[in-house]
Amino acid sequence: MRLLAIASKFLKERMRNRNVLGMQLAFPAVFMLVFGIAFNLGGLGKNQPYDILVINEDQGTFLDFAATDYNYGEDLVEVIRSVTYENSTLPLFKLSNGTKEESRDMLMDREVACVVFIPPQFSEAMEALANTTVRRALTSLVGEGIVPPLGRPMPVEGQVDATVRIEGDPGYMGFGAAQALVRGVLDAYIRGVQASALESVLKDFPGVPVPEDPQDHILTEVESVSGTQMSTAFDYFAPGIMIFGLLLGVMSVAESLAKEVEEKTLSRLKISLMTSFDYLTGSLLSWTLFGAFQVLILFGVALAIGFNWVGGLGSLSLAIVIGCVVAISSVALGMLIAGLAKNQEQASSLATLIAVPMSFVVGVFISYPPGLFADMTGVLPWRQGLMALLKTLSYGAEVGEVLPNIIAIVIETVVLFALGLFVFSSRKMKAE
Amino acid sequence: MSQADDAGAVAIELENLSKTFPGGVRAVDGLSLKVRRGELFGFLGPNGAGKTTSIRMMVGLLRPTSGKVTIEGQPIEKAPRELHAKIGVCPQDIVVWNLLTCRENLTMMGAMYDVPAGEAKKRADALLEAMQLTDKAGALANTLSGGMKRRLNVAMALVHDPDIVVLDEPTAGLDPQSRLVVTEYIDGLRKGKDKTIILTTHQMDIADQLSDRVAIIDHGKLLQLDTPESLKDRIGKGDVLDIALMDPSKNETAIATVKKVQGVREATQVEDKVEVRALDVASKIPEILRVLEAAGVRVSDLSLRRNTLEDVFITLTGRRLRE
Repeated sequence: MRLLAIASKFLKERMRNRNVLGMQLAFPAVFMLVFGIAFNLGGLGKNQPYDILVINEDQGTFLDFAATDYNYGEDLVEVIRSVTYENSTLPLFKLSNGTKEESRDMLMDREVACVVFIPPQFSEAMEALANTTVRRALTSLVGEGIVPPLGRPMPVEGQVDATVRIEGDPGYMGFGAAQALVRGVLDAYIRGVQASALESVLKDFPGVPVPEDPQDHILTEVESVSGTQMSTAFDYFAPGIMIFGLLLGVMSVAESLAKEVEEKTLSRLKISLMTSFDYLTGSLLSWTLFGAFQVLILFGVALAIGFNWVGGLGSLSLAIVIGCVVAISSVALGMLIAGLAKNQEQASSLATLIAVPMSFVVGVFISYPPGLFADMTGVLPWRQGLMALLKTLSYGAEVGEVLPNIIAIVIETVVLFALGLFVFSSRKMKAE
Repeated sequence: MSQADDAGAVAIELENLSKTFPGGVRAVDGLSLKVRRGELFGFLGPNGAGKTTSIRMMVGLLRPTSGKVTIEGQPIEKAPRELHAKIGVCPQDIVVWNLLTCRENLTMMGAMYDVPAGEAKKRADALLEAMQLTDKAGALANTLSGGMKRRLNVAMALVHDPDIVVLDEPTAGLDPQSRLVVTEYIDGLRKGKDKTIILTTHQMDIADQLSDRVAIIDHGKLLQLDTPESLKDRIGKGDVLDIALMDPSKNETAIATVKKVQGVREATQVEDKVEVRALDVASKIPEILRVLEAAGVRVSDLSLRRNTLEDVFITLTGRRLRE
C-alpha cells in the first residue's frame, strides 16, 4: 500500500507538472523527429544527379532487317548516362561502377539510389518489340491477309519478353525519385525504338498509327532489396535514438528524487513507517510506467516519420518490452545518482555528465566494431538494449535470439537497482 | 524526581544530548530533559538556540554526537517502527507536496503510516475542516496561501493520530486568523485527546497560553524548565502593579515607601500613577497597602499586569526572543 501510494504520488506529480512533462516527452520525440527528417530528407533541396548502378547483362541480338549484331542494352545505358534535367546540362544520373555482386552493398551503403538490371535477353525483347510494333501497325491498317510492299519479309511478332529490374530501398526517398526517373527514361527509350522501327513503314503508309500498347515485350519491375526490405539508415539509427531517449530519463529520475530530498518531503517520509524499499520501488514503478509511455511515444514518432521495422507486430511488441526493461535501468541509474548527489542541481549535472557520454559509449551514435571495447560496453544495460532492439527491429530476431540480451539487461538492472537502493538508503534515508 | 517523572509517565527523554556539526558548530550542548506523557511541552529559544536540532534528534532525523534520546523508554535508534508511528512531526519549514491536493497530501501521509485508505480519507476531511481548509480539499497545495499551507503542514503531522505530536514553530508567519485556528486546535489536542505535544515557538503568548511546562534553551543549553507560572513568578523584573493615589502629589512618598517592601524591585512614577514591579506581586499587595496606609497615603485604584515569559527570557539570556 505504501509502495503504491508512493508510485501514485510520483505519477500524479509528473502528470501535473505539464511543462516538465512536455519537455520530458517531447525532447526525445523531437530528437527522433529531427534525426528522422535528417536521414530521410538529406540531399533534397537542389537538383543533383542520382547515383545509380546499371548492370547490363544484355547479350545483344542479330537484327535481320539490318543484318547486324546490336546491343540495345548498351544503347540504353548510354541514353541513361546522357539524359539531363530539362533545360539544363546537368545529368540526371551519375552511373557508378560496380558489379552485380557489389550492388547489394552499394545499395546498403547508400552509394547508389538504385540498381538497374538489364536482362540478357533485353535486345531480343527489344527486337521483338520493334517487330511487333511494325506488324501491328501494318495489320491494323491493311489486315493480316495482305502482304504490304515492304521490300522485306513481314515482321513476325516476337515471343521474347524481358524484364528490367530496378532494385532499391523504397524507404529511402532517393530511391523513389531515381526509380521513377529510370522508368521514365526507359519508357522514352522504348517509344524511341518503336518510332524508329515505324519510320520505314511510315514512308509507304503515312498515317500508320502507333500501337496503343506497344510495350508488351519490355516489362519493368521494382524490387525491394531482399532481406532489408524497407530499411533506411534512419531505421538503423532509430533504436539508438530510443535508447538515447531512455537514457535521458536518468536525469529526470535523479532530479526528481534529489528534489524530494532538497524540499525535505523525504524527511517527512523517513520518520514514517515507509522503508527505503517502499520508496524506491514505488518510484521505480511510477517511472517505469512513465518510461513505457515514453517508449510508445518514441515508437509512435519513429513510425510516423517512416521508421520501418522487420518482423511485424511481434517484433514491435518485443521491442516495446525491451524498451521498458531498459527504462527500468535508467530509473535505477537515476536513483544511484540521486543517492550520490548533495542536491538537485548536483543531481542534474551529474546525471547529464553520465547519461550523455554513456549514450556514446553504448553506441547510440557510433557503431563499434566487435572487439574488447564493444564487449566491455556489454556490461551496460543500454548497450544490451540497443543490441536487442537492433536485432529485433532491423533483423527481425525473435524472442529466443534476443533472450540473452534481455537476461543481461535484467541482471544488470537488478545489480544497478540494488546499488541504487543501497546508496540511496545509506545516504538519504538514514538519520543525518 | 517527581512521581510524574517515573519512566512510565515519560514520553520522551533527552539525556546529555549534544550535537556538533562539521565545522565545529555546537548546536546542542548537553541537553537533558523529560517530556511527560500527556503534557504540552513548550520549547523556547531564539533562532539558533538549538530547538530544531534538538527536535530533529528527538524524532530520529538527526544522529546526536553524544547523549541519547529515548521514546517511551526505548532508545530512538533502536525503537521499533511501530513506535515511530506514535510520533507526528510538523517541521518548521512548510513541507508539503505542491503538486498534490490538500486531501492527497493528507491521505499520502496516512498511507505512509498504514492508515487504511477509507479511514485516512475520513481523518483527512476532519483535519481539513478543523484547519478550515475544507473548501481547498481538492486544490493543489501550490495554489494555497502561505497561511493555508502552514495549516496543511500541521494537519499532515496529525493524520495518523499520533500519541506524541512535535510542532516546530507551527504558527510562524501566520495571519491572526490562521494563528487562532492552529492554536485552538493545539489546545484541543491537549485537552481533549490526551496527546503529548512538544511545541517550539517564538510567540511567547502562545507558549504561555498553551504550555504545561516550558523549557528555555539558548546556545544549545537548557536554561530553565518549569511551568510558565512558576517561571514568571521566579524570573524577570516581575509583575506590574499600577497604583493610583487619592492624592497624586504623594506619589513620591508612595514610591519611597513601597521600595522598602521586601521583593519590590522597582517603583516609579508613570504619568500620574505609581508603577511597582515585583515577582509574584499579587502576594505582596496586602503588605504594600499596609505600608502605604501607615505612611498616610490613600489608594484610589489598583491594577495588576502579570510578568511575561518574554521578561523571563530577557532576564535569562539578556536579549529578546526574536533577536
